[in-house]
Amino acid sequence: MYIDENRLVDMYRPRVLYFALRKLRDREAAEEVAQEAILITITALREGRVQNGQAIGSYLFGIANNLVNKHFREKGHQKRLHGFEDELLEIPWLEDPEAVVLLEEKRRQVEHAISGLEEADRELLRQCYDDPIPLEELARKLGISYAAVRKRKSRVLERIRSSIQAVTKRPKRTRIK
Amino acid sequence: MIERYLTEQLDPAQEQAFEKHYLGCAKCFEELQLRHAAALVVAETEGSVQTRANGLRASLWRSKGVRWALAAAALILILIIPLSYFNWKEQPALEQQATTSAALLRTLGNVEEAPLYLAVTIRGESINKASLIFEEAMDIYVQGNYESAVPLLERVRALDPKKHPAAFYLGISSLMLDRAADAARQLSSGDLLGDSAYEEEARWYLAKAYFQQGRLQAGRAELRMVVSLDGVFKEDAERNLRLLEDELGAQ
Repeated sequence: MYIDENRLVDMYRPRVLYFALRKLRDREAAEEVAQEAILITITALREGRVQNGQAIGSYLFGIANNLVNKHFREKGHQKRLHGFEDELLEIPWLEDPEAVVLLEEKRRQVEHAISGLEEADRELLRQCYDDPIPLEELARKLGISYAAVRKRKSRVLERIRSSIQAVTKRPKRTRIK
Repeated sequence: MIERYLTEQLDPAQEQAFEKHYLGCAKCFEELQLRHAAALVVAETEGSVQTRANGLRASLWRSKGVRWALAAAALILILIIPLSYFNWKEQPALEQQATTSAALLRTLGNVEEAPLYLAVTIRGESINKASLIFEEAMDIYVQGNYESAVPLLERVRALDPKKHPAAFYLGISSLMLDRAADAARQLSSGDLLGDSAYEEEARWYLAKAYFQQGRLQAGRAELRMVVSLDGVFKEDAERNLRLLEDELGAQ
């Protein structure tokens, strides 16, 4: 089976990086995990230890999880040695500044998309994400049915997706000299 | 599911399943990113820029360069204080507490926190009854409910004596319940201390179990083994050995 290794890196590295960053909350450590996990996976593919292209995700998960686990064991040791307190770093993932940086490009795209929404749709998003509550509760709060809320949310997200796709597919203007 | 993952509301098994999925699914990962970004945009427009600022400050603290710079600054401050306030032979605060053998044993046997457990998927590992019970036990372990984890881990050991993680976490659970004798027996089971990935850590905690039982020489022997394994616990083991040998030398 031919594997385009460059394409594999492009496809999977962002996912492993996101996964590792969420676990480790340390960009440098997450980059190391992502790099090592991809390298191990490529090696396994070259050696035929991963045969089925669809199994790459599962294999990668196992490797990345192991590497994260290893980092935690070593970090636990470092904590004991140097006495650093990590409690003050317990920032929710949604607010984690490392995640903000990682998703900057996507955030800009979504921001542009959201600016084109109607106020009612923007308000729905705020209700969904600013202080997340179950959709059932949101439905009661808005005075509409659960199905209606779910449908509206789905429609809003679809509009955002379509807006982003329209922008990314737009042909770039080239200057003719 | 995506929002619950973003807000960290999934239980460990659900989280693992979701992560395994999006690592292999481009569409779901794209959706995850989109919703995460949407949450960030909403947070900004709601005036939560302060949240980001707080996060950036925390990130700055977290930056290794800043941590080491602060540590170095602290060290310099300590050094410029008149040396007459310090006795070069004086032990650090931790060791000052250990003025008696009993106090030292308590210090050496102290377990501040249970080792972490993160579910690890090993390719090719068969899913059997022992594995399922083990996962159930570890779900309970991560919640700190060691009392309930113990019987489940004992069942796993009975079903699969070669399952090293079960032996290890059984010993840890006993330690956390102050059952030093049980912990010592469980952590010293032959195959765990053989060529297993848990050997170093098992010996480290076995030493603690021995110290809790007052078995000074046995604990020292395990610390020496930890040093010889040259792993992540080496420096801690060397430090504890120095404490022990200073105490024994003083007697």
